[in-house]
Amino acid sequence: MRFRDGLVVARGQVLWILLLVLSSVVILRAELVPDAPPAGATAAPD
Amino acid sequence: MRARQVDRARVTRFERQEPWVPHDYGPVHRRLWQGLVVLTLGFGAWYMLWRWTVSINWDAPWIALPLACAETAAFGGLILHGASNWSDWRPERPPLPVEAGDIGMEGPARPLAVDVFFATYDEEVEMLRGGVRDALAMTYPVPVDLRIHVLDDGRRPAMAQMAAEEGVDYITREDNTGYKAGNLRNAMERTSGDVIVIFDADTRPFPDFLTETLGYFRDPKVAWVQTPQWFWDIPPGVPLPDWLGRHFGAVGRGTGRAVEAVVGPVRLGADPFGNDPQVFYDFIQMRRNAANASFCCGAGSVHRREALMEAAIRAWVAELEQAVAAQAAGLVALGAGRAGEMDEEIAGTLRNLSAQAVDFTPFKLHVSEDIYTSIMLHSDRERGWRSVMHPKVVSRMTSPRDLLSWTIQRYKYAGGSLDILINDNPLFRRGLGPGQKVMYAATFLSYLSPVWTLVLLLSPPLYLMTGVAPISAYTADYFAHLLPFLLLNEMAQLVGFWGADTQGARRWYVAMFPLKLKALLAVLRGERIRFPVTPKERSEGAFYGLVLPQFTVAVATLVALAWGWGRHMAGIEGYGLGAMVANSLWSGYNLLALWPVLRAAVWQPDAEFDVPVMQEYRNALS
Repeated sequence: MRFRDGLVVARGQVLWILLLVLSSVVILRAELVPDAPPAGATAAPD
Repeated sequence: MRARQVDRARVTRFERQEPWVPHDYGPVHRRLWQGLVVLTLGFGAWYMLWRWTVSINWDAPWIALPLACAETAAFGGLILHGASNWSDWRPERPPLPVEAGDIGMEGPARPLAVDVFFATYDEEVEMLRGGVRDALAMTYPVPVDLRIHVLDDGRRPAMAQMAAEEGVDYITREDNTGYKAGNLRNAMERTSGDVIVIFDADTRPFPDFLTETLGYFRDPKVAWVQTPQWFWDIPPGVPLPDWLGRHFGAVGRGTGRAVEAVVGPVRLGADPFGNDPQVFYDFIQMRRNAANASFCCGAGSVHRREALMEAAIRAWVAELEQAVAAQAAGLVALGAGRAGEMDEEIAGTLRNLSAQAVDFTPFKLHVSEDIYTSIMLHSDRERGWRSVMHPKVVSRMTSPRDLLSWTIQRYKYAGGSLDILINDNPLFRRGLGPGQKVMYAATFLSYLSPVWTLVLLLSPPLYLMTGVAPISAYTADYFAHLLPFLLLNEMAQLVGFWGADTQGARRWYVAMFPLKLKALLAVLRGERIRFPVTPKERSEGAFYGLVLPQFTVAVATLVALAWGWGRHMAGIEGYGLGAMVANSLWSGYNLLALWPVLRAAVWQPDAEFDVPVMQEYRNALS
């Protein structure tokens, strides 16, 4: 099978992978999500 | 001959109507796939460990534990998937046998005798005629004793007449005991060929069917050869330029062409029922060759008669012993003696009575007789029977044409497989090797998947509606564990199944959850595997009821997404951005998975592009 034919069949999957990569970059690099809170940080504030 | 076959396959101007070319990866490609499998499972194990040790929200175990269990079960399925698709090894095909002695038959030299069975019940006579004519056109380089039989459980004079006109044998019987398996058994009793070719009523063999398959039988341990089932009437869908042209004229057509120039051909509404079997035959079944575990799928298979008869004898003896033991236990309970001290005369009488009651059958009389017979032969360690999945498409068939036919077919597969799993589990069967057990486990586990699929589908809407998260914190730590695993898995599937649409196959796998769940419940209740259909449903041709569970889940997901983002915008506790991003991506994937089956419920063939292909099969018969 020619590479291009394989790519055409897999284009949906390639798009999904690109979306996952993009989400990963946005989530992990753009500091949208804080790191795990330190132990005890979830306790109710005084 | 190859040219003739290709000509025959090029029956339409649509590329999907040609069979796939078997995949043939080089060593670098294979190593890449195996490396990605190892990495995926490694990162997956790391993620699962983190899930169970760090991330479970113990404040809400009602939602947290089912999800963790579902993820673990799905990961178990992934391990089996990786293991069962690990190797691309395929058996060598020896030269074609010239005479019966070349496949191990004793006696004087004579041509190989091949019985070809066309099993039918209520299919159109002309459909069978096409198949019979194609079978008569099968070629072989030396004389072969080819005997074609039409096995008609419909007892139709018109079918008998067709068989007479075409110069082939006609076999029928007084009742339909055992349905298709019984039909085949009846034909086996009346025929004597060295090998048996099984076709369905809609099978159209290519001229090279025999030359592609019979070589394997030089190995005296080869019991059967399965060939890929290829559906040549799959609706091809509307090309994007045509679809846009209908709505937006020349501008739309031009835009469609421009898009296709970049991304390749786009077909809207192609293969609406996910019938394309390439992933199953060209990858999953082919890769079972490595463990001698490819199973028979009925139509398009070639069997060594001796293997089927031996399997029948062994199954008959085992069943007979069970029946005698059960009756003896009953007599002991009635006071006829103590266990193990049964009078020899009584025991002999019991054996005689049981022998008359127990069916002797080469094909297990079961809703999934093909896979059942495969397991029986694979577990015969004494004889060491081998099976072969042949890579090349050498026949064509028709596919289910509406959602109801599709549902009935898949329900039968699911129910039959689950019945075997629950009542005669191959994993506990003596004789199967470890590799074979892994392969069969992968097959059967997939039918248990609705249990965890349902949890994975319902978790996002449950969280979005309640604000109660199953995971303790959707933090960067969570994404750091999950995303590498997901990405590697996608990469592995892309590389390992390059050239096949695995994404489509996985969507249908998810979307089938209600059907598999219904089959599972039926088997657990001990009910017969059948899918009741009212005449009204069939006549109306609209099958919304069949997708009601998927529709409900999809709507619930959309409503929950709107509700969840609204709560997030309002700054309500429990709706953090990390949780919203994770659950939105997850919901999107679920909706994409459910979309094809929802579309299938309302699908109508396109008059310009689908109908000609779907009708061409019938036209080609005449």
